[in-house]
Amino acid sequence: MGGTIQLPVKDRDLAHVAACAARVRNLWAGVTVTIADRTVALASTLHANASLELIWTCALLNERLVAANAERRSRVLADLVA
Amino acid sequence: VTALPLRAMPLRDGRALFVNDAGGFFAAEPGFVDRLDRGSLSCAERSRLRSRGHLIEDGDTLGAAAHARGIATRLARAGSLDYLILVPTLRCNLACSYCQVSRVAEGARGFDWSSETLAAVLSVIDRMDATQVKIEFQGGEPTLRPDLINAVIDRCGRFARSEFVICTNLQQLDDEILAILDRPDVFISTSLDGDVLTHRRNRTGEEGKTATFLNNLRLVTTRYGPSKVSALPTVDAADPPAMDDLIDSYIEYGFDSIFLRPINYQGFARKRHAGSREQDDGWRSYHERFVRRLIDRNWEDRSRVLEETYFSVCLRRVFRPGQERHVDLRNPNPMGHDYIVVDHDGTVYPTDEARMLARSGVVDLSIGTVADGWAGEARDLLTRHATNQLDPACTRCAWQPYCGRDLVDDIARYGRIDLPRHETAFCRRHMHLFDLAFDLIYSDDGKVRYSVARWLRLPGTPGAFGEVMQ
Repeated sequence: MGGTIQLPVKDRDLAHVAACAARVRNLWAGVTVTIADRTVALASTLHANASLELIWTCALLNERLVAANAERRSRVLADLVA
Repeated sequence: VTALPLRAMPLRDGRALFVNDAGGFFAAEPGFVDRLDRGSLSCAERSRLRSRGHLIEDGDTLGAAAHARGIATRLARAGSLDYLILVPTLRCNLACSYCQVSRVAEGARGFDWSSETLAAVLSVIDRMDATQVKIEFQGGEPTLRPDLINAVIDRCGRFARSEFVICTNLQQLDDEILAILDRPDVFISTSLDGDVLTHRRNRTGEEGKTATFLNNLRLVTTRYGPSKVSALPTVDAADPPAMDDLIDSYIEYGFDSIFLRPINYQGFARKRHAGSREQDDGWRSYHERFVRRLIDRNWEDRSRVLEETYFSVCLRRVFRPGQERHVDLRNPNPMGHDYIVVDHDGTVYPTDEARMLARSGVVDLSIGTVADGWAGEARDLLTRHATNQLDPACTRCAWQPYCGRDLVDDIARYGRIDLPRHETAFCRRHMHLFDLAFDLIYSDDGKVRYSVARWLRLPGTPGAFGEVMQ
């Protein structure tokens, strides 16, 4: 089960990809990420039935959504606690 | 600025799931994910997201307020003290290999409440300002001291509603204990590890004690009906029982709920079942196959609904925010506020697992004593960290609104609370549980929907449990 894919970095900034890859590692314990030669390799055993491309897409999208919402989320929580 | 307070999670079926901060969710086909990613959603799609609270336009104060309310509803609030776990004695008349609490021999001295401790417990009960109370008698084996159980129960007459749970190995059922159990507000919790041989191997160790347990289990389920009695199995993940054997053992006594628990890495289990520190893929696979087996059996025999108790808790965490008070899975999880554990020597712990850690000599997580109080620095220090809201990994996880935080479990397994979440057994376990939950929630299989609906206590089976964006 599981598998490995090679994703071309394309026009994305490599540093950003590396940051997202770290988040992928954080979120999906069964996913390993390696970056070399401007490609990103993902291997998964945990989400065996999930598409690795989808995992990757979600990770990138998630990173943007979370960053965009960080301040609002903190504000809402602070208001609720207050 | 338009806010999309969402987090994404890939589903097993090739779709992506989006969960907003308040726990509302929808699945999306790849085309929708792509449009969301590129910021090219149509007006109709944006409107649809907005109407469901997944998108908040700049200046939409009503949408923002609704969103904040949704988050507030999800946050657990600890009221005043209304739940006590009491350990009147640490003595026990069994010696289970994975006993979590380092029990002592039945004849040992100095391991029961003193008269001073009993007085302090009763004083705490007198000072509780809740209108209802739940008290769980743990051990050791609490039925070795029915006098202490009676003293506590007698003191609770002033509450509008009282519920008492006696956690017992059912080795001893004399007239005095049966008189306690006869009360309508007393419930019985026991352990049933499966068929006779499994139970004997794990717990009773000999034929006579096994027969006593099974006879007494039969007696209480016959005398009171299964609704007054609950049982749960402890499963050795390295050698799990055959699923149908375990299920049949429960059905035999009229039990529909099975709380499938792996050996807890506590007490004697730390030495005798060292492999229980991590719940590996083997355990998660067993658990998932068990849940799916229950689905099959519910479909085959619709006269009863079998459930795995903790999985149902997780499902209700998704659909019924604020209504599920399971203390191992709430967020935030304040310690020593609405419930406490009072040990045999009057020491107060925030959770039963914290008591086990102290008994095992791992770390002292006591927060005070029943005589002198527990609202101090130790309690507040634990409570400050008992949330998943600000954890960097949880912040990025779609399951965060449904999940919880269990500091004591982290300390028990790793001796620290600052491991990256994904490296903890708690995270891996709950990632698996919520992955499975949403796999079932979005299943098109009628038999799956049938069980999910019943586990959610719905009167019928809806056509769908969640929305899909095409």
